[in-house]
Amino acid sequence: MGAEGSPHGKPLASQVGAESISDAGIRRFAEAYEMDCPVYWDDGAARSAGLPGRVAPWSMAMTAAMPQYWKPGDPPLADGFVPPFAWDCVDVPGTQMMSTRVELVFERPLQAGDLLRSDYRVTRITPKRTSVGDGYFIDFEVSLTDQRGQLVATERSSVYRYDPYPGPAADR
Amino acid sequence: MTPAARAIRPQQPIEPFQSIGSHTFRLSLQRLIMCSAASLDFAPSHIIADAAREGGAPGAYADITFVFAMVEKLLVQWGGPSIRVRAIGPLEIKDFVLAGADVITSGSVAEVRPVRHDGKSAWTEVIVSVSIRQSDGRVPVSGLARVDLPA
Repeated sequence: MGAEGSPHGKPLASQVGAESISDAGIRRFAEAYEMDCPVYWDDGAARSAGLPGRVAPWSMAMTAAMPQYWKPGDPPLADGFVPPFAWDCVDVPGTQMMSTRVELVFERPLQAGDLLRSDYRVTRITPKRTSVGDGYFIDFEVSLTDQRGQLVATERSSVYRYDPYPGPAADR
Repeated sequence: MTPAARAIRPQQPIEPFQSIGSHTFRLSLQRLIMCSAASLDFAPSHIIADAAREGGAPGAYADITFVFAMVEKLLVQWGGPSIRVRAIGPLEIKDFVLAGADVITSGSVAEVRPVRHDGKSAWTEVIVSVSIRQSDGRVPVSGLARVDLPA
C-alpha cells in the first residue's frame, strides 16, 4: 500500500449510485425494516418535524450509493455475485470479507432525488489471523456526495478480507 | 394510511445513564432475505445458510445496513420524528447477527452536550451507547450513536 494511506489523498475508487433515491425506494426500505416514523412516509408529517419533506431512512445511505450490479453489455453475473461496492479496490488476498467496525456520519437527511457518488480511500491495512481465517483488516473512508457535489455522509469502516480455514466452523 | 410513530422519550431532562428503551425485531431467514433485498445486498451469505457456512459463519447473517437500520429504529423510537441522526457508530461488529434468533436493540444516554443554536432552532446533542443482542444470548454489535434533539 502506498499513497492510499492518507484519507485526504486521491480516492482509490469512485462509484455512482444506480439511481436517484425515489419515494418507491424509500417505501421498500422502510417497509422491510418496519420503520414507522411518519417522516419516511408523509411529506406533511416530515414538514411538521422541521424537515423540508419526506426523507429517506438514515440507514439507507449505502443502499442509495450502490452502483448497478449489471448493465447492458456486461457479461452475465457469475454465481455467488456480491454487491458491486469498491471494497476490492485494494489488492490484498482473500476470498471472503466481513465488516468488523462501521460508522456513518451524516451531514443532512437524504431525500428523493438525491444521487450519491462514493469516493473510497484506504487509511490502513493490517494483516491478522482470526477465528475464521487468515487475512487483512482494511480501514476505509468513503465520502458520499450528492448530485451537487456536496458531502452528505461519510462512512468509516473496517473490513476483514480473509481465506477461511478448511473444514466446518464447528471444528475450530 | 400514515403509520403512527411516537417518541417514548420522557419529557424530563436527558441525563447520562438514562435508558433510551429497546426494540425487538424477529429475524427469520425469510425476513433477512426481505431486508437484504430492500438493501439491494444479494450477497449469498445474507440469503443462503450454506453459503454463509462456507465463509466461516454458523448460518445466514445480516449485513451492515441491517445493523444501521436496527440502531436507527431505536433512536427514532426514542427521540420521535424531530430527531436528527448525526452518526450511527462507531459500532464494533464482534459476531454475526444471525437469522433464526430475535434481534434486541437497546441503549442508554452516554453524554449530553450543551444546547446549540443553528439560527432557527435550538438542539441538544446526545451521545448514546447502543448494543444489539440476540435471543441466543450473544451481543454481536455494540457502540455509539449521536443525535440532535430539539432543545
